[in-house]
Amino acid sequence: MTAAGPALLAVDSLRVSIGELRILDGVSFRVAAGEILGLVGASGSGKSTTALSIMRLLPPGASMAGSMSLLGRSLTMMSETEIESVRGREVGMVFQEPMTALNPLMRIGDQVAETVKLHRGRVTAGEARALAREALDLVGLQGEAGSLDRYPHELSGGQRQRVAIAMAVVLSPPLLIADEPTTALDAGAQAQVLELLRELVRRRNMGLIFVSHDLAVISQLTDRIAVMQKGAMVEQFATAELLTAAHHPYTESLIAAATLDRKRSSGPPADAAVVLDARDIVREYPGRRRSFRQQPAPLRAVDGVSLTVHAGETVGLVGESGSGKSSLLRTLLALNQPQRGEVRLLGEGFSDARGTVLRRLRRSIQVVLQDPYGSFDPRWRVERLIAEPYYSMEARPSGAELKNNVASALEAVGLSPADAQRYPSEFSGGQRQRIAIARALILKPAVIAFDEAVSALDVLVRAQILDLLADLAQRLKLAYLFVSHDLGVVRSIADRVYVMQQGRIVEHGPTMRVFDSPQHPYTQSLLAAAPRLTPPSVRC
Amino acid sequence: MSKPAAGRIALGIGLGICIAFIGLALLATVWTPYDPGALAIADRLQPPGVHHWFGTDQLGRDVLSMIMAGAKNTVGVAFLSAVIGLVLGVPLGLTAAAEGGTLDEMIMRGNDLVFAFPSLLLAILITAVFGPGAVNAIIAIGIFNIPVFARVVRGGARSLWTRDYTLAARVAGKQNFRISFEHILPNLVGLLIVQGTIQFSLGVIAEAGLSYVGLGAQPPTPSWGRMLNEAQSLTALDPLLAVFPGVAVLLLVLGLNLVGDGLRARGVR
Repeated sequence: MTAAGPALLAVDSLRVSIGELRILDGVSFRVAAGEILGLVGASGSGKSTTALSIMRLLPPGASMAGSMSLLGRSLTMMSETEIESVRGREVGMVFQEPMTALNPLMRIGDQVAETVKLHRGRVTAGEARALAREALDLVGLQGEAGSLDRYPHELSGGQRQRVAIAMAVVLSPPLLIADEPTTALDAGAQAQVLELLRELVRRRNMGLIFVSHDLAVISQLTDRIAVMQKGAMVEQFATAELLTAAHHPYTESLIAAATLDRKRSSGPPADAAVVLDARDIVREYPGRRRSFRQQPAPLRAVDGVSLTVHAGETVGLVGESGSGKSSLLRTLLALNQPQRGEVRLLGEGFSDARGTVLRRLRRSIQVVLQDPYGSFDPRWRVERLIAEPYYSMEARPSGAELKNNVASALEAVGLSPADAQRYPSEFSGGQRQRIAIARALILKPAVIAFDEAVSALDVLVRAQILDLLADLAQRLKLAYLFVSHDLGVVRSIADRVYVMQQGRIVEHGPTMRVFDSPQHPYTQSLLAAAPRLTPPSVRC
Repeated sequence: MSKPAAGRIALGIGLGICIAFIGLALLATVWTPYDPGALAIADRLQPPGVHHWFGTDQLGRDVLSMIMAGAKNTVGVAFLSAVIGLVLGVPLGLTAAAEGGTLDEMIMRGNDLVFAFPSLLLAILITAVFGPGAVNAIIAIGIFNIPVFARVVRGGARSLWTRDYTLAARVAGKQNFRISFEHILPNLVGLLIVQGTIQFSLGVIAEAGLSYVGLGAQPPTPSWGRMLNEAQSLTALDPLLAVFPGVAVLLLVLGLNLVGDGLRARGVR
């Protein structure tokens, strides 16, 4: 069913500029009814601008040239009133963040019905609600979860995205545009939303433009792929040819970044010493008080976890959001006290250490955090930020020695010593993660913990950072504890892996063994849900 | 006119007014056209003119000189009471946000207690115990500034404590106290400047109110509130006597609020 039918949407040499800045430069593509086109590229490549141009939703001050036609009618020539009737009725749109796309104070049934009322002038409230019911059924929100009277905050992220899709398809538009609709969801919800989109396209014979930076997701869903780079269309090809045919170098680099081959050749020697040793950790939080007299039952975030990291070893810790990974990590860093169990670092008690012993031990474990924007005090220069861990030393280097150490840390992560005098806001996300790594390296620790350290990065940047980490581990004989929900990342870098569910370790072992023959059902479901870069085999 | 431009103009006007009043107050410490306390019954109730720009009151005192000296008094009281609130409220707010738990609860409930207390009642209480005067007005207004700053700082600090850089500082072994002063407070400076101008302007109104009812600066120290009080009985005879101090209060409060709003709109950090 690929590309054979007449074009539903035809875009020809579309150019968009904002002032002097050219955002899109000659973008042309076609989408047929019943076809799924994947629009892929790194951030800033112009894929979202392309999606917004079709709806003529460009920011004020943007100018547009070229031609676009939907069902034979030119979108570029339409008046503002005409284009308003196209939006929603003939082209539906779904955005990345479902919570901001929905009105938090409005029941979901009313939100979907509102779309109907806006576009069909003469419609009774009852008819609108009936259509809303039908659309919510269609997106799989039946029964309790799909009750028209629920509010967005009562739904999970995946369910909210389903509501957003229901709003987009309630008027049966022939074309649907989805801009990174699954990026904010975890793997399980992502797989379900992808399945829903595929099903909708098949049933309604809709055209779908699916915008994403993630080639793995694109390869699972689409019929054709259009690759964008710096506002230009690099190439287009059928999804089936993704891994078989030769491509433009940029596409090849995207494929390489998405496949994430093993970054590490060999693990640590078999007799490596244990550097971090956690035994039977229990971490509880006070529960919510339900009645005045009754003591609330505590919430057990970490429930009897034991975990070891050897010198020079990279250990992965995977699990979905809410599995207790972050609570465990904070306990391992001695930021939280465990209610039971003990953390030992380099053979000494870490979790119950105090005063000077604690300060001395802190030098041996450092951390790199997820958010490249929140990890740095915006008022501090890079030099001061990188030198902050020196606080745990008694004899802190200063003056020329400090400058030299910061400079060599910056060089180790591929930045220039001159960057020391700049502020974090002057750097891109990937560069900031490099600064965070430099901060973790400055004390030459034995272990570095990574909390979702590459999750916020673009695929290409992510691949570069992972290469850097593998290289540093090799050269500096570092041990890593790599916490992530992204199985592909953990697979590419970890020697051993622990799988965590509801506060417990359900499976652990060498990475290849766990990924190739998972024993626990939870591990199996995680692996099944994770998109991988293989052309879908069972497609009509 | 575009919005940012309008905001810039408002901020400029506000700054102009504030600087003018502060300049006037500073000038009054060394020079006023006449001695604001000097009585000249022969010249009483003069209309504005060449010798007395704003005229004279029922005792022949020069109104312009009194406004200038009153500015010194009002600006001083409002500023110092804002400083009291800042110096005592900020550490309370930082501690509440950093420590949480019982200490947070105690500090914030103590705050609520002061908030719930009518400020005029406390001012009367203080004056009853220590006698009326500018210093006691500063203390009374200052006490009510403490919970305002504590609450604002606690809110801002709590949101900053969720940032990852506080976690990184803890991994470096820094204590809450040190993180509060190295990472949290510097990032709240903008918030404090905005809140400071607002408390400053509320302090101006509070000082005028206290001296209007006789609890502020005592005669012969001139004050805008008492000028208003004295002019009240003479409104039929000479309405301008009430207009000058009234307009002075209005302008200064307006200027301070324009500055506060302007800074907030510009997202001062």
